[in-house]
Amino acid sequence: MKVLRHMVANELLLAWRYKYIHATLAVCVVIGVVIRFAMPEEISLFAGILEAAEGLGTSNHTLTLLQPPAPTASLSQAMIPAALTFDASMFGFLLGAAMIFAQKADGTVRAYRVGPRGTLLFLAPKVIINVGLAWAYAALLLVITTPGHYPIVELLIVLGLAVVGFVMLGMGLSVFFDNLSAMFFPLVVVTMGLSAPLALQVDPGEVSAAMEVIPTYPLLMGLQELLLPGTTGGYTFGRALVYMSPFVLIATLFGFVAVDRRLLKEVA
Amino acid sequence: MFWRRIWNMIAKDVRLGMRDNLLIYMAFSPVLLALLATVALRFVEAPRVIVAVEQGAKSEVVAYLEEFVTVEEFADRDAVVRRVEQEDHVLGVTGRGGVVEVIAAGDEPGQQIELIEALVELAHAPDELDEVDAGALWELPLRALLHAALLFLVITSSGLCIGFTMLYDKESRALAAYATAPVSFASYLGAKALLAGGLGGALAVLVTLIMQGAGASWGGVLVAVLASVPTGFLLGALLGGLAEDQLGAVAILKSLLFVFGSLPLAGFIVSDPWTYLFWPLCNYWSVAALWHGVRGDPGVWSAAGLALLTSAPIVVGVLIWLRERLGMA
Repeated sequence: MKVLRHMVANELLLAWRYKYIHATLAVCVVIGVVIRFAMPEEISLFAGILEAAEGLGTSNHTLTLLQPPAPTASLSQAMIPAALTFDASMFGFLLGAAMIFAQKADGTVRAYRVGPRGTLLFLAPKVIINVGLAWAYAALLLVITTPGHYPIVELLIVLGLAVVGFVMLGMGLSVFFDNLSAMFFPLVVVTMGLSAPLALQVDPGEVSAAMEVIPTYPLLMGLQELLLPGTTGGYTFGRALVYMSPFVLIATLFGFVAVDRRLLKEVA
Repeated sequence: MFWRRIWNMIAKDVRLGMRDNLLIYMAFSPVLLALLATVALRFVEAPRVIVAVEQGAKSEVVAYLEEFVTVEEFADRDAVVRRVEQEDHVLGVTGRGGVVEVIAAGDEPGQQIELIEALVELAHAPDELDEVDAGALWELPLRALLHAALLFLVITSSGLCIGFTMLYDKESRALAAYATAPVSFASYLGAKALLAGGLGGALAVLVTLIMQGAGASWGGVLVAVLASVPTGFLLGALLGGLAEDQLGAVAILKSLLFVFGSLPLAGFIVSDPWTYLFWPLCNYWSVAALWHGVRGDPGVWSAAGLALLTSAPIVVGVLIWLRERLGMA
């Protein structure tokens, strides 16, 4: 335990020195201010039609709702789970990789190979720092945008799990590249793929089956349900966990095996 | 001699880029994304709002709906209700002869209910019919939007290419060697700009061909891309100047990509009074120019002009700062 604490402190120092913490929290504050003060309630996708029909009244039709209207999230509200998903959580993917490159560069990895500590102790501090950073981001964003009472435990669980998956994926991939610039474009492509569900925040239309298997989708929906209950059309916290679990498990396994077999054993 | 030096530096950066796969990824990722976007657009460009209509419902209403949304026919009202009750967001329209009934489950997203109500009313108002065409339904033409986004990706990637090669020069101490060699700041930066500009220009043409074909608005695209070049350069110069090593570059990238990538997009979404805050940002005008440019909209000229006007003083300032920073003063 003492060793783990020492290693977490070291990683924290490194993250502080490279200004990862400063950059993350500064971006969080700007996003929070934009959401709180500048974001409109909604973007009209059908403005042309709605404007043309203005003033025509409703005399030619009746409206039947089969059930009471469900609460909906405004665009500014919907941006809060989106920021937590696509910025706070997914930054772990980049930061996890950067932490591995840092230790490759300063020679720590070589020292670690001949040391008595296992792969788990090598990975755990990085995961802990990233999870802590995502939690701090979430707390700061919620304080700036919509301070209130939220199901804290569930929020911490869903965010924590997602960050574990992204960090392990980033660390696992980083093993196959020499440095950050070599990994940069694969990183961009993966990030863009993971960002596809962001389109739903602007245009909440039909959700294709392909979208559901992207791990950021259950994370986004789970966070939205926790922060804005009833606005996801019945998507539950449990369902989010079930859909996210395979990704987290596979990414964790991949990250562990890649680091253990390729980085710490110098197979390559 | 000047051009030979530039050529040597370009050749060195190309070798470096090939070794780290940086240039290969840079060349392939926007093209790959453009191809993927073209495939994806086939599925999403069709109207996404679906309406279940009762057979025999008012023909003028059904015909009008068909112009804007996908219409599915059902035998009677009960069948329409069953369809509406399914988990997706299909609305229903029934009513033979008399008043039309719009049926909704109540959990439809966005403004879909208002849209169908508006279309039913417009179908009864022949005077208003001429004013609305199907193209007006979608405020966001997806193909143009994706095209502009991919062009912006090409420009920012070209900028990052400059930044990463500068970073490599710092880490490999090549900059220190340049300081003692007859290499001027202009030739050093010129080599990087020529490489990024050449590659970026070729990619912009490829992406435009994939997204819009040979009939694209080439003039608009050219004006918008040229006006956005200083923005891409600024991104790379700031990365190369600020970062001392690749790991320090992560935090800088996080901040720069937010400022250069997310903020200009936010500028188009925020409420009206807040948009003025984005006006001094050259990247906001670059995105605006690309958006107008890909659609062949005359607005490209003013947006491109403003992109150049807002970027010029910053570029001059950054060049002076970068010269000092790289030890080439």
